[in-house]
Amino acid sequence: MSLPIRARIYIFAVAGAAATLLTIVALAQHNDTQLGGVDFRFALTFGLFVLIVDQFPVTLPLGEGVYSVSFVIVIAAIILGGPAEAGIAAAFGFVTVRTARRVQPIRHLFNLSELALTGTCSALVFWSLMGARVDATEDIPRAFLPVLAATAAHFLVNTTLVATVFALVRGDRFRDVWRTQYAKLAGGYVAFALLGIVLATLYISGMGAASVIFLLVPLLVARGAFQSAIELETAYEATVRSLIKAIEAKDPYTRGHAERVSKLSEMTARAYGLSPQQCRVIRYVALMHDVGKLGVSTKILAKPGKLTDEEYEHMKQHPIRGYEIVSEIDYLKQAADTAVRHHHERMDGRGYPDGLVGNDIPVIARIVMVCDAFDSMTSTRVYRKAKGIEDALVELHRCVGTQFDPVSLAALQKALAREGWEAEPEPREEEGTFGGAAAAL
Amino acid sequence: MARRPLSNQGHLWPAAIGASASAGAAAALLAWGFHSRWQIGLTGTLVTFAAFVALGDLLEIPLDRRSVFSLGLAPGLAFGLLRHCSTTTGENCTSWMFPSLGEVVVVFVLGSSGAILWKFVTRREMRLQVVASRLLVVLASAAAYRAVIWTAGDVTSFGSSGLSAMGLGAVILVALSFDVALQSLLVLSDELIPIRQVARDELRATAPLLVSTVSVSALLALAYPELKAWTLPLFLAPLAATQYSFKQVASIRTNYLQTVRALAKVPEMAGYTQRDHSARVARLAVDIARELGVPASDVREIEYAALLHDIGRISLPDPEEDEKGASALQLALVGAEIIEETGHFPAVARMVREQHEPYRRRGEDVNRNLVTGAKIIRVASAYDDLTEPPGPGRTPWDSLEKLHLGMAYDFDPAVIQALTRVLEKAGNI
Repeated sequence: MSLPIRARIYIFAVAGAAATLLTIVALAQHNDTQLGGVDFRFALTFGLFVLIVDQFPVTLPLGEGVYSVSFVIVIAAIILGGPAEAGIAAAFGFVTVRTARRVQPIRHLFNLSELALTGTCSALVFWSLMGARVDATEDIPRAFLPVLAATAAHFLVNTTLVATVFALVRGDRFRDVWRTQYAKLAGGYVAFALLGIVLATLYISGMGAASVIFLLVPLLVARGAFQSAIELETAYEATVRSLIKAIEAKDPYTRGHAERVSKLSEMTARAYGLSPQQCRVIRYVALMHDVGKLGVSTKILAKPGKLTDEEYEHMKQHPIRGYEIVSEIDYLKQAADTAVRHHHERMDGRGYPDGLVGNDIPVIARIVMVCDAFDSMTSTRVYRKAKGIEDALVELHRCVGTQFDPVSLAALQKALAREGWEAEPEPREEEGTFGGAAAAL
Repeated sequence: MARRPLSNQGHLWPAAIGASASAGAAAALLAWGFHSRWQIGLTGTLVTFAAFVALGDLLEIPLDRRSVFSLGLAPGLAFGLLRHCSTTTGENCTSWMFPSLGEVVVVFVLGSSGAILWKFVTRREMRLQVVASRLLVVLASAAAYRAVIWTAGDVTSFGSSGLSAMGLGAVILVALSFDVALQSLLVLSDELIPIRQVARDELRATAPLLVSTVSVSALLALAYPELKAWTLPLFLAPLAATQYSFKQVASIRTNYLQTVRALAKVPEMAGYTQRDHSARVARLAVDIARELGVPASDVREIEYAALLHDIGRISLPDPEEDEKGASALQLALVGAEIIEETGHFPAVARMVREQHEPYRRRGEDVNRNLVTGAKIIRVASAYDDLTEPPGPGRTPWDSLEKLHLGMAYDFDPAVIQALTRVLEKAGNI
């Protein structure tokens, strides 16, 4: 895959910035009495450690981004060496044996310069706060705050540079990339920074290189656990999505509905100000909000025109069926009781299955209600054509108070304005006929 | 945090009393030691380490099935490896010594009892057998370390990295073998599965954590003289991060299994298959797989495949139509396709795809390419179809007999034998 021209320009800009900064820092260090020039032997030793550790990277969800425990070694280099040494050592993280030949040279160039730039920048932050070389273990306690500052700098510079390149290469929005990929790594960074302090301490307390070997074991175990948590979460999400898709396939007109409601509900929950934990729960519970529909006969689901009373009663059972299924999942139990069971309630109490009124309807259910209705309106159904986003919002506003909760609707509107939304694409001709065929069964 | 139901509170009292008593005894021992022959300088250290043992014990890592891994092992073991100065000449230390094993016991018991009492107060599960086996692991490892250091040279040269590495290797070996042996015994005491398999699963589950904890302990002991009290939080923070990741893995795994279990019920609810068929088949398939000595990670995949083995049926337009329009083979292929969609379960998809392949077709050789999981699911599903719903001529015996008739052609004889053993153990036949 060849890179877009914008990405190429960006990569060369980063490379130029890294080279310039390293040269300036090296020259400044050369003239500095305390640092007395660049210690290349130190830089290469730590670079070698970085290179070794980087053969075991952690792969992030969404593909190519990797996250390495070599940050521990970079922090130790920052504490013990000068900014130039830290920058040089950090740059060694650019290549792993596994990817060395598969990856284009320009990507190596980016990794190399990005790492050098990040390492030098955070070392400069450390130095500006520390002001003196760390020579003995007594100095270590004073280094804590500067290390934390350097960690924050490293995190920000690194994730910004990398998220930008992914945004440019894939055309994704920078904020989305950053949030999905990197925001949650902050905690791991702090833990690794502490290990970096440990490493620096052991290194100067006379253990030298042996300390790196001892430290490598717990580090790699931590990496393994971290990696499997990420992989498992990714696999989990993919599994739930494709199972839901398979279940949904029974009703061709609602294809992709669950997925879109899940996305909308998560966005809305975020705009509503719910905690990340709750947002995650709502993502999955909204994905499963209609699983009870499979219990409803295909004939009813795809029937054009009005349903008979009996058919409608049967249809009204689906939130309860869905609730019975989803409540078997412990972490979604509570949400199933709210969002799945009550996603067809109305604010005026005329909804089903329990006829709850106003504030008795749980917040999560109110959010899913609005998003469910919004997506239904903006997609084509057996009995009508899709509405535009604006029209749908006007329609929803008309039903505020009787059917929908104004706060959730406001949150949905805020989320749509903030993150943008693309309604379901028009169903193609053959899908329409398939729907008709299913109804004729 | 998992909490025990209150009704169980009754038999927890003895544990709480025992913990208080041992904490008291440890404190008394401490006071006595403090008075007579142990170093006064060490008492502060001892209490600090005990506090961290307690803290670590409260941060447990749930492993597969019932065992847990406690981080209290790290400070406990580190104290056992801690070198301190016994004679000083001016600024310099002339001779070094390790804490006695008695002191190690005191630190460990003091810390663990504290944690047990806290768990009692907050009604968390107290796993006394785990605490006890861990104490043995700490003592054995500390003893092994001393043995290596004392045979190889005197304690003074302890700092040299070659010697430390040897000691560390010994500690890892001893700790690992003790832990695996003790944990396997605990598992074996109430499950009837082959011992080699238990030990192997146990080794896989604990080895990475144990090795990393032991290395951290050794480093902690080495860094303590330099960093003093800073050492413990410094070392425990990364371990806690690891612990968090492990916990995350365990909780996602639970969510995962429950979600798949729940979604597997969707076709049943819609009337495509019998109620709870997939759950029963999954349970039976897991038992058969364990009986056959399949490793724990593969058992997990077999469980998923068994839960989802009928998922292809939801492609049928109407449940009542059943298999008229599509053959069982086609449905299996559709099911496998759905699972392949996830992009994460090639092995599970393969099991679902091959579930309808007979063990051997007439006139052909045995199909050796079939995965064990597929053969197990085929047998478990057939058995469930024969026994549920129960009725005359549908007892486990009758069904087993029918399955025996299909042995060597439809079903793998080894799997049928394993099924027979599972049913025997469960008392069904």
